[in-house]
Amino acid sequence: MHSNSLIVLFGLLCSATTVAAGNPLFEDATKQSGIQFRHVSPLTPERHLHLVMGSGIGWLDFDRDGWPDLYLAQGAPFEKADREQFAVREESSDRLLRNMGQGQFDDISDMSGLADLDYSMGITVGDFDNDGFQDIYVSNYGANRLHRNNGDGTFDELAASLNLDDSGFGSSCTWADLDADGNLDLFVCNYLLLDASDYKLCTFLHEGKPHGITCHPRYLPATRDIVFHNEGGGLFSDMTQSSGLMQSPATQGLGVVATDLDADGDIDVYVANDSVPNDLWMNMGRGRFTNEGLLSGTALNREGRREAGMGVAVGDVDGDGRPDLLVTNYYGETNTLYRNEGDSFFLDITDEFGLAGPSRLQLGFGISLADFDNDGWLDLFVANGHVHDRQKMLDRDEPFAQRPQLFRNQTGQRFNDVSRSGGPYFQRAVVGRSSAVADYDRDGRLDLAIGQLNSEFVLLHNVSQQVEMKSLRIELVGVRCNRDAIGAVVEVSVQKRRLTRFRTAATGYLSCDDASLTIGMGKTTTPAEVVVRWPGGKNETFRSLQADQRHVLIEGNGTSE
Amino acid sequence: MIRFPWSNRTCRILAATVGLMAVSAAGAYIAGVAPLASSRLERARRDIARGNSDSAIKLYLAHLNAEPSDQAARLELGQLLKPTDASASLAILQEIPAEVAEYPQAIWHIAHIATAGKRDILAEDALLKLNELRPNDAGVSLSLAELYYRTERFTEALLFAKRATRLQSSRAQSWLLLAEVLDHLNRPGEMLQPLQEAVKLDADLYAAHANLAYANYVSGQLDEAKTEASWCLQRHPNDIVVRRWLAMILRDGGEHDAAFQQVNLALEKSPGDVECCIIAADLLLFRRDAQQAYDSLKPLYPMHADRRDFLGSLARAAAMSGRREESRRYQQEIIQLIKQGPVPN
Repeated sequence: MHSNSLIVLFGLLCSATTVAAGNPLFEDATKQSGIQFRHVSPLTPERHLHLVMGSGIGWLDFDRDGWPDLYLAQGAPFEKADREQFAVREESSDRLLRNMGQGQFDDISDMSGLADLDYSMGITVGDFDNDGFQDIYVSNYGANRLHRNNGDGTFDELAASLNLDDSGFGSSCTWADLDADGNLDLFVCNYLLLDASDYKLCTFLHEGKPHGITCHPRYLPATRDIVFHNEGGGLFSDMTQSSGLMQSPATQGLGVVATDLDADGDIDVYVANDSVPNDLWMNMGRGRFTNEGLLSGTALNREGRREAGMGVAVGDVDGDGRPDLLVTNYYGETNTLYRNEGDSFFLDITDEFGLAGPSRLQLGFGISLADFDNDGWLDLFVANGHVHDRQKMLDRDEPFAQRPQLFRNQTGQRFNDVSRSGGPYFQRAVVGRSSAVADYDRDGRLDLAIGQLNSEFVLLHNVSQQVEMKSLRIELVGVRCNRDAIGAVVEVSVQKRRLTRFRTAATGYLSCDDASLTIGMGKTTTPAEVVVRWPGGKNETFRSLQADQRHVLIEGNGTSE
Repeated sequence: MIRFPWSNRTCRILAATVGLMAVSAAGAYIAGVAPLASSRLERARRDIARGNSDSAIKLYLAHLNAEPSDQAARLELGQLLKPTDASASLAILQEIPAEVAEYPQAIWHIAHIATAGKRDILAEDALLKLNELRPNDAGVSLSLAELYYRTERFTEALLFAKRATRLQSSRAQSWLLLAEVLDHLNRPGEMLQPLQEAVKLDADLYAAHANLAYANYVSGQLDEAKTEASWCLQRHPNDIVVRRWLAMILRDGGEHDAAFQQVNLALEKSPGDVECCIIAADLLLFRRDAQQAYDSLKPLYPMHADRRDFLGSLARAAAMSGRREESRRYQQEIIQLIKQGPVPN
């Protein structure tokens, strides 16, 4: 009887281990990487709003050595005296970290000429001048910056000279070729009108005394998102009016993705707004947009409610080839999954897909859709953390620090919360903000870079047990389209499955993933066939791509369809 | 000299008696207590003991007419009138000033009468005064919590509901009230703890189990939610609300067929339950059966055009079944409702 019990117990343990073995697993590799970055955003007694928003992360290969480097946006104190003291410190600016290989990074910010002492927010990486070197646009609470990559390890800051230095409260931003002319345009979300000299502050009473609290964004004036048209030759013009954005009122934009959402060959833009309906800007051709948020079903949630959108990710979650949208929202709201039904319509399937319960009592910011276990299905990472640290004084049980979450995609049917087996990082509460994905050590598994408010940067190394899972690394090079091929759609056919991935220049919250696409293929021994839909509409097929290898796909080198 | 027929001794006794009477009357008059007044109060109390309220009331009134500062008597009269003439009782009790010893009891009775008569403004005033006098009185806190809950002032209700549970943690209903207040304040995650306390105190408290099904569901604890819902439905299979929650629990857990089954069972009992209709329609839409979803919702439009969740579901069904312009209209109606809606917390 006793030995039978032991056998049963052993069997149970084995099955539990087997299940856990399939789940993604991460270890904290920050220390080993040599990255020592602490985000600076000390909360003021008045609780100035921008100080709780955090800053973004961008992966890029600035030196084209095949290893993804990191750009980390830095915050700044609010008070002038504190800022002046802060400015002379080493960690005061945004940082550029060069990937040396072997999981090591070197801070080369000073020698690169990159300097940004404002409170940096969003990052988008793209080769705007098509010279083969990735450039960086950074939105700020303050004037935005454009760091043009000179190709020699240095950057020049050109925003003012190119009239891209909008000084509103910029949030997420993205490069995208909106008019299909082969040049990367720029879509910049602006959040609120919060002038430093006339900063709106809010208070609440606790035990008879007033205390500062971050104001509710719905009741602050919004500022309009901006579209900059790349004229070529290093010139930009403000095409916000001609693009059609003025047809809708200004909104509190925080997250943005740009990709071909309706498969008509041009780039559409979805903006997650804070506390007001989201915007879905459908491209009618040549960079002219109409706002189809309401009609598309993506402005509100299934209950007809506005949500406080923070970040947004795009990816084919259910494997039907169409890009779905996933928005992180406020505490008490779910993160919302909009399944692309085709014909420019999306269905809120948050509950049916298992995301409602796990997200309702979290405040989500950063969001990354990525195949962490290489089974061909997009998994999900969410960085959580509140914006209010004084909820206890309001007698509310809403923690400031919250646990990040990891979800595994169950063959396109639902997301299962596997945070408990995700590794030590997922077992502690932090004030999470941004996240971005790259295979930084080129081991075929996607890793995570995570930004935390006023706290240390974290690099998570993916150590998921592969168990014969393969991946494909694809780097796209545009020739007629923009050099970075931002806006391209990649379809990988392997073993009767079609895996669709989208090349974007912004994702999640304020952040940008690595340009090269690491595509999990599951267990396969056969080479893959890849169809690339280049921006501008041309399709090409590339055949016999071996798994676990890097493939550079150049426009024009494939077989046209 | 005229001589009377009585003896001298008799005359002396008579004279002494008359003299004593005169002195007594004078003394009583000087003391200011009419013998008649105190006897009225005593008679009133005797009448109460005999169940003769009408007579007692008259005697009290007469007494108070003579002795208007007798607050104790005023309090007694107020209590006497309470069961039969609440208004008169209130009038009497409200005369008792704040500085006398009888005041707290008077306020208590005023609060009791006003609460029972749903005279909320008066009840609130009385209860708040009582709260100042007795800040640690669990009954007062509970009464205020209930009043604010009933009048939908949930923020105020929360303060007193929490206090009531703190002062008298052994009362299951107080914990239940606290949970319901939190629900109305859209703080479902905080409902779990008070509901668990309620069930600890009263394991058969159905409302607590039902709310636990809901609170566990919104907190993402689906197994616990399912257990609670099943407990409830075993006892009350016709509870549509709980069955609907079970459908949502199953849906969120990926058991879509089972969810359908539950929502259909609910609709058999209550065909017009719009929330069940929405769940069913959304499941159909998830399966991409848009036409059936649309057909199930459209007939309900006249009755539920003021509900955002219903309009949202109908809009989605319309869009997915190719009725884009119709869908656009519903979405615009939602926006109008948002504009009209209350300002959120």
